[in-house]
Amino acid sequence: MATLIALLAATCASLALGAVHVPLGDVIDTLLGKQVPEASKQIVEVLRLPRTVEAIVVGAALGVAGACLQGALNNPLASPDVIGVTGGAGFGAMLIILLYPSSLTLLPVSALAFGLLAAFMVFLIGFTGRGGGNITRIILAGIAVAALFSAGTAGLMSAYPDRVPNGIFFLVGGLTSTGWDTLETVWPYFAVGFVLAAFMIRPLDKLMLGDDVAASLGSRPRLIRLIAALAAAVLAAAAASVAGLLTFLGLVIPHLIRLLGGSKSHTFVIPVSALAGAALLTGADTLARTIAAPVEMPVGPFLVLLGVPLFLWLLRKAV
Amino acid sequence: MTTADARPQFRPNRVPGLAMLLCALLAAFALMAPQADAAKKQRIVAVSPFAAQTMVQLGVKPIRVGQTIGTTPRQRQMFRGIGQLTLTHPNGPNLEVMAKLKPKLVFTSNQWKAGFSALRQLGIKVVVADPTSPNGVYKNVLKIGRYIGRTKQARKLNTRIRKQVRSATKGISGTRDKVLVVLGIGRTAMAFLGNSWGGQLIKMSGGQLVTGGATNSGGFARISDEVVVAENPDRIIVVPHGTSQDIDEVKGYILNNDAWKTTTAWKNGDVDVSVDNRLLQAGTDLGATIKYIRAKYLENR
Repeated sequence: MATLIALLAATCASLALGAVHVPLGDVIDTLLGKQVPEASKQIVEVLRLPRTVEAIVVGAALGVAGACLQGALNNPLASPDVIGVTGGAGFGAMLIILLYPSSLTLLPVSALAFGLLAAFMVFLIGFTGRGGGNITRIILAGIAVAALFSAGTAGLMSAYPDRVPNGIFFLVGGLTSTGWDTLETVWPYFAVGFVLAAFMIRPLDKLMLGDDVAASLGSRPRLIRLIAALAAAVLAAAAASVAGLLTFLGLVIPHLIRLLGGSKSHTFVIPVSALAGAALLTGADTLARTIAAPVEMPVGPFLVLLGVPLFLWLLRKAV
Repeated sequence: MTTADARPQFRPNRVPGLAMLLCALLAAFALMAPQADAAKKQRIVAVSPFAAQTMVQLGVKPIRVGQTIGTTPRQRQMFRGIGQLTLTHPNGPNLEVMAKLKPKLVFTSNQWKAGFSALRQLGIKVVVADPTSPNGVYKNVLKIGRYIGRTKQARKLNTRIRKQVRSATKGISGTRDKVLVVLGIGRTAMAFLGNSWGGQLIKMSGGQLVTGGATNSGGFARISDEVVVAENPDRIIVVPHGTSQDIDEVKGYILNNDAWKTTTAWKNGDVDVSVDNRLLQAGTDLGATIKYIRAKYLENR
């Protein structure tokens, strides 16, 4: 309930606040389709509304991706970084920004494609062959693949240092007001990821009991792990294609929820992580674009600023 | 005949002719005035400094210009009374501010491409007008002229720029100083290549870049100290990237670079720091910039 209220508050703030003052009445009237001054209407309809929706979807996706991965790999330190998605998406984005700046519209597609490619490589190494599906093997494969793509990104940045400032915003993580364009391209991936994650809630709960117990209950641990990790990869890659690299969210949100809610059940952790991720990213984005307006700051540092104190407080309280 | 008789007499038969001439003149003014007025009242934002300079010189003031770092006194004078827009990565101008300003047209540069789609969704026409080479100046002046309905004036401005460039490049001697131009970003120095704006201006001014004919898509490359020692530049020009507060720090770093102490430039004290954006940012004052480079950095060779 608290996370739902936080999400509603963050959504209202995101729609009501920005670089330009739009009276609250105008914001409400625009959303209700009533007559308002043209500039106010455009600011709310074309800029703030799509950005708020993006923040909600991306925040929810990262929260769910983190919860799924931590459950699938039975590792509290798991995040989209671990399966190489972040490294791959970063490389895909920088490839366009640095090498093909004239094709900037392809950035989300490239980030998504390379994020998924990295995850595919990790799954191929981690899940196939003898001992496939072993958690340590998946994590190590993820670290190696992530290092490979990070090296590629660093190489590109060294080759085109003058263009690096254009890419910083993506690497640090930030939403941009591009209307509905990006979401129109990547929404099917979000949809697939959310549906897969929803189907994995109960199987992941069984997996928490250990592979042997889960198998004795009729589950297939390796398959559960693969599908949950696949859901996380699709969600994280889609999120990166919209908002850059916001890995912190995927790592911390599920922990926050477990600490706050006192339950480790995925029936609780996955849906509430979605709400909390959405609330935190929407709130942080509002802060990032209003605190030094008209300058827009990247949202990554604000996420950390909002999330870390709360996380550390809860951690201390729990210990 | 009295003096009064000698004065031209009022001739009633001339009245219709004069009146017709007057009416024709008034009609011409009446027809021209709204056009000139319309051009002046166009709601245009010039995000690229080049577009802003061009518009002002064509007699149309943009409603806002993009914020520029290191403007020259002449540019500051040109932009007097025009509000500035803060520019940040990746979109350039804040999109909500643009929605409120509601310009019909934005002249911008490819650097801010990430924001083009949103600007178009706001119903704002986006035109890229920022040359990357001195030759591109003329094309872009004409392009801007066409969009603001000042094609004739744009042609005249191009003729003036060409004349100024001819005059500024007169008497360049056959001996060309080897010049190293570095862009200082913190402690990382990058060399201007032949296809950068500044590199091309140095060549036009009679300098020879130590980076030779090397080019890349960005116009800058990290250069090895070994190449600097081997090429032994006669002049080193440092262009700080950012604010003028960096100048002393960047100059200090360059002057304390042991590898560069062996160069003729260092030994002769020919290490200069550019204090404005002339070598970084395209402008319409090509001739004046070449003159400035020749006088300040190349001793009019």
